[in-house]
Amino acid sequence: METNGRERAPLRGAGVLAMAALLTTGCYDGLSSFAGADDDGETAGPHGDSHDGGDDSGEPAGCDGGAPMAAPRPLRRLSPAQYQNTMRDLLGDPGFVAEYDATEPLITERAVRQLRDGAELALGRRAEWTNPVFPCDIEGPSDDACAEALIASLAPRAFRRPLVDEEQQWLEGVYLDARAELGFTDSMEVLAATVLQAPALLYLGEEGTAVVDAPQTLRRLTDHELASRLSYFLWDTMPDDALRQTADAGELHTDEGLRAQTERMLEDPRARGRLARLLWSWMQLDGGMLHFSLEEADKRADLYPEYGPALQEAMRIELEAFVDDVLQGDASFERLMTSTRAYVNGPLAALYGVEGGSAGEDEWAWVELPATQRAGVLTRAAFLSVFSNTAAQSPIRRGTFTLEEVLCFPLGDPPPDVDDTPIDGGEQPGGSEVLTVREATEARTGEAACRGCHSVINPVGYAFEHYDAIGRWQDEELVSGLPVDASGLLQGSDVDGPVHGAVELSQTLAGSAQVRACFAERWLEEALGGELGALDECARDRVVDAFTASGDMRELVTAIVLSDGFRHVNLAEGE
Amino acid sequence: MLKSSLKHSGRRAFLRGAGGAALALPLLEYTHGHAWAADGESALRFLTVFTHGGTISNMNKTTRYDGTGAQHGEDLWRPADPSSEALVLGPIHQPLEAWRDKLVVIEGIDNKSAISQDQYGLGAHGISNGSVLTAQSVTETGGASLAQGPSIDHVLAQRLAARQPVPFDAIHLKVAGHQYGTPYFSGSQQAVSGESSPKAAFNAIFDGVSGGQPDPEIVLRNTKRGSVLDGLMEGYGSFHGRVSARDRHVIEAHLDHLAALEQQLQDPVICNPPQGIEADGGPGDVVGPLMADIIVAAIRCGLTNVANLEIADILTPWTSAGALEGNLGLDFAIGHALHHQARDIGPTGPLSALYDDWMAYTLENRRWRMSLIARLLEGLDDPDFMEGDATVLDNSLLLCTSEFSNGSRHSAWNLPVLLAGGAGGVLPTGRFITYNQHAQGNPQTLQYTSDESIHNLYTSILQAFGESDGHFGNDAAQHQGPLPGLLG
Repeated sequence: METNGRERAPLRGAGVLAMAALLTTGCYDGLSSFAGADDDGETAGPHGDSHDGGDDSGEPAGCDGGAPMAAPRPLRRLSPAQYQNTMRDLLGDPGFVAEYDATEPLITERAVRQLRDGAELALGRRAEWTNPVFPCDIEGPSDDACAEALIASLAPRAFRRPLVDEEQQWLEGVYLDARAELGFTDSMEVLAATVLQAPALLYLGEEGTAVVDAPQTLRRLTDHELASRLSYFLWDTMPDDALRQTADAGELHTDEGLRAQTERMLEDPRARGRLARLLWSWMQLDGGMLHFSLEEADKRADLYPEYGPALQEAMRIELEAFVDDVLQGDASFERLMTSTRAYVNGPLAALYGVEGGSAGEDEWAWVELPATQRAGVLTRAAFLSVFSNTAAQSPIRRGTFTLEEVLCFPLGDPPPDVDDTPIDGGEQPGGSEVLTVREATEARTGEAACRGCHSVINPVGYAFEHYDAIGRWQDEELVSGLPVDASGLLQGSDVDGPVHGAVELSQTLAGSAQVRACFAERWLEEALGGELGALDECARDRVVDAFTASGDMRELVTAIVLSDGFRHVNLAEGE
Repeated sequence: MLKSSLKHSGRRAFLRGAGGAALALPLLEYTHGHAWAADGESALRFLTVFTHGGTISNMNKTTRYDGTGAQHGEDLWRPADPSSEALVLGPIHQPLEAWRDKLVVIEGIDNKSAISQDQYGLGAHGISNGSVLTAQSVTETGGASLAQGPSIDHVLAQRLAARQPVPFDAIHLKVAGHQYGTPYFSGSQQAVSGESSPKAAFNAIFDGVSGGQPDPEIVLRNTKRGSVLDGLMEGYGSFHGRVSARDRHVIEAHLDHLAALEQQLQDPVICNPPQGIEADGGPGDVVGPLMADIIVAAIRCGLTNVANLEIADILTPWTSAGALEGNLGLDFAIGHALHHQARDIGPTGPLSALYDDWMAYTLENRRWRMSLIARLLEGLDDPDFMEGDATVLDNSLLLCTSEFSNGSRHSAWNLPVLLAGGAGGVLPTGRFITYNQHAQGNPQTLQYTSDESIHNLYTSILQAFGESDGHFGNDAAQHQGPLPGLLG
């Protein structure tokens, strides 16, 4: 996969399970498929709750009282961030910066070389380590007992569990083999470098333990395996001492033990950082398949002279501070979607049209944005700038994001021959007429082949018409000079109906069960490491129910962690 | 207590042997030529230059656009005189004029894997990328398009490494930027990622390579690396036995790469590494030439038989037409947006006023890509670095292609295909070959039909390297076997 921030964001998944089954090719089959029939001939709406009815994939009938369920998933490898954090925590070296950047499903030769270099770099920095990794002075006299002590101390932490006998013998052999041709110091380095590149460090191997009355392949995670899942989900790093001790004591797999550790870990700033990154990734502000990251989103200098790296950075700081503020407070999804509270510097205050601190770039203040103009993350400058063209707002980009990522409404890919040149409105070719962005969008997408999707996409996007290409409020468009029309329409959701403006849209979305289900599913997928399968439906239902009721993102995390899917591994070949 | 016996003592030698040790590596200085092999058999090399995003082409499916509608009607990849079998280079290939006699331009190669898999019968982004070098079908999961088999470069790299041992089966360098997925695969679902930092590429490939006796520190470091790799191969081998059956391929891939690193630790190669490769990234005009230099040096030093240069779909503000970029109003400042304009700059298109600027800019953009090939050819065709009577280029085959012909149409029909080098004398060069059945006697026809696919092209390439394969890729091709009339 290519880098440069143009990948699909990681939080992409199947969406509502029933939808995935109904709309395998997206809306380009035409609107008729929105009301398609499933395999049983039962009619379901586009976002119908047909998951309640189960499916024919061999899933046991009920979610309550039966054996635990979890869909099989591929073996996970540490992400680049997780690898770096793990090395830092393992060695006590916060300055360690890894070159490891592999995100491919299967590891590449380049990545294996990067891991080799990472281990060598780490060993070369041992003067910086604050953890007592080497039990003796490895520059000193030869001491085989020191190698044994290193195996006993470093490897279980690196592997996040006690060693199995085979691993103990393996590492002893590595040291002895090295010692046959190398000095003591070098052999100790060889041993440490081997641990730092070992499979049990890099991969989240999960073998689990047998579960009574469950299929043989469905196994409960061991306490240590669960500790790793929990720690990488909540902190993006290896378990800390307290979590490891709970696992050592065999207390993590109980509801009480797991809940207590989850609550403890959620209080840690690392959890806030991690959840903020989840939100950031959900909003795709680091780029997507067809849009740039915030930092790469150029604007026309003649129309937006104030826009540039400084304003982009301010937009990012503002959104990060807002997300952190929500998470630090009641972690309310509704607040995320509707709050007017904002952290602004001078230029951002000017953009939002509010009084805020001084006019300087470096002076920041919390302010309330005008409630008639702003509500939550979808009305903030960072989001609105990314989902725009260089000259004008883009209702298609904004509408597509809202449908696909907020409502989990899969649209599929556009046909190959669509005209995707930017729609900026203004004077049309030939000079005969001047159109708003909205009018020009209607003209561009008016053909029958386009309407299947655009009759749904465009009216959602039109609700954002009051925000220009950098998210500033506009009553008249910059390019066309014409007044905007922000009347929109939500279709195919549980909150269908007209919406006027993005404030009303955001408030409507905040109260939608479908939106919460979508949000909960994306986080569950992130926690489990892949798209949801039929055997995850019970876990999904419980997590969705919990989040729909509470709207509390921390409660969502707790529900995910306590779900069967999070606590079990399915070693079957496939569902 | 540690056991005192060295129970693993035999393992190292065994693994090193399996990784390709016991090689009589050539002593080469890439700046002052020596024949590669002493036994008179010339080594053969294979290079690919993959340029993302298609070319300046008027292809649709079975017809070309005539330039009277919204699409332009130009094919600037095609030879200037398509009626001549002797190659008369077209506009895009002008930077290669000095090597015209060593080139072959081929018309009429479809990616029938992509065409048969795409719901629109054209190609589509992910599908075309994943299939163009593999001739396989493609699965799309989690935003990634993954081929169900290896690409031609990987197959050849393995075959060539078996008979011409080298530290690196293949090297893979990249000018980074926008693209829709890698075309390179080392196996089913296994994407290969190129290195986009010249400095990192240089460090990896020329690690330990020096013009004189090896530095004792490097020798010690490599001994330690060998020790670690031996340990890791055993550790990953055991881990392989503990993961579930469905995950074993993940660990097998890891083991393969450990073996590759072990192979790279062979006896030190004595060769003068290229100087001044320090950029850790940067714009294409910095990265591209450095990557070409690394490839030339790596081949001349005998470090690899196969080299891939992947050029992302980037804009090129540094060319002589770069100043026109501002006129184009590219909202999405990547090459993708540039070639999408192709369908709107014709006389009835909404961007018809941009026609001249678009053509001038895009032509220089594509010529810049060719300038990187020119740099490769210059290094490989160096008369001061002969292998017997032939240059390295004469003993090489370079393939340049893209996932699309007409990027604006996402068309995998009539892909741009350029070959360079003689493959050891089996490829007659200086030719233009068309497999368009309508073009016989009517070279300007807008009609297009071909029975040939990348499957047949890659079969020909395997056969050019002396392999006996009768087919490459899946069963989407019209026929099995090589391209008729390509090899001498």
